[in-house]
Amino acid sequence: MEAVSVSAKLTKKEAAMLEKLTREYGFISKSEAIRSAVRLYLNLLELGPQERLRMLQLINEMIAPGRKTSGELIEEAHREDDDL
Amino acid sequence: MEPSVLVKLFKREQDSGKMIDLIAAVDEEKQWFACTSRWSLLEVARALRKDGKPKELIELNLKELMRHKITFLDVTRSVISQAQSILISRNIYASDAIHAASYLGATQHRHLEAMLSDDKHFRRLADIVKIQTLNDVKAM
Repeated sequence: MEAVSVSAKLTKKEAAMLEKLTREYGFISKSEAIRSAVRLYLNLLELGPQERLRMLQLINEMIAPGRKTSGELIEEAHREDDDL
Repeated sequence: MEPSVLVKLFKREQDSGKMIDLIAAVDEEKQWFACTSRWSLLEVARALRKDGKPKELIELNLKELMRHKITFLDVTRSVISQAQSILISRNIYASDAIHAASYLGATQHRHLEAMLSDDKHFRRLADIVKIQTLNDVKAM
């Protein structure tokens, strides 16, 4: 398998998190942890449209579950515009 | 399609699964045509930001939105001009006027069944814009 090297700049906070996760999950190196993350991301984006949307909806809900409905959020943003 | 239904794609709430099914159907069915104003991208982004989603996730959500068979209608001078007329004659938000004007502009070139919206403000425009909610959409 021909491999291509890609470098990435991370913030100090991200680098520290990567260091921690690499240890906690037992990856052999930070590169291996990143490779795994990239593969997971690529797998997600290669899903069919419906599955991709369902997965993305789940990720949104897990990372930042909001209590307001879509309609309420749009309405709030409109009111903000009015207040400006 | 108006932003209140597009945001549903990225939240788990009433009819959000139905919205995903609908977009998948639009992707698959060649005879279907779905459009929204390009302005919707900003409204969706703002709503997701207000919902506390991180920057990277908002960017990914917007890229996802643009990956589907949705036509994003440019906010042209003609759209702005029609939105002005709508806004002056009715008590509605500027954004809603843009969406109504975009819908009316699009109907000149395509046969549109209705505007899909869950925004109650659009009921005030029922005489010029035919509104359908996700509730009205039959199961796919």
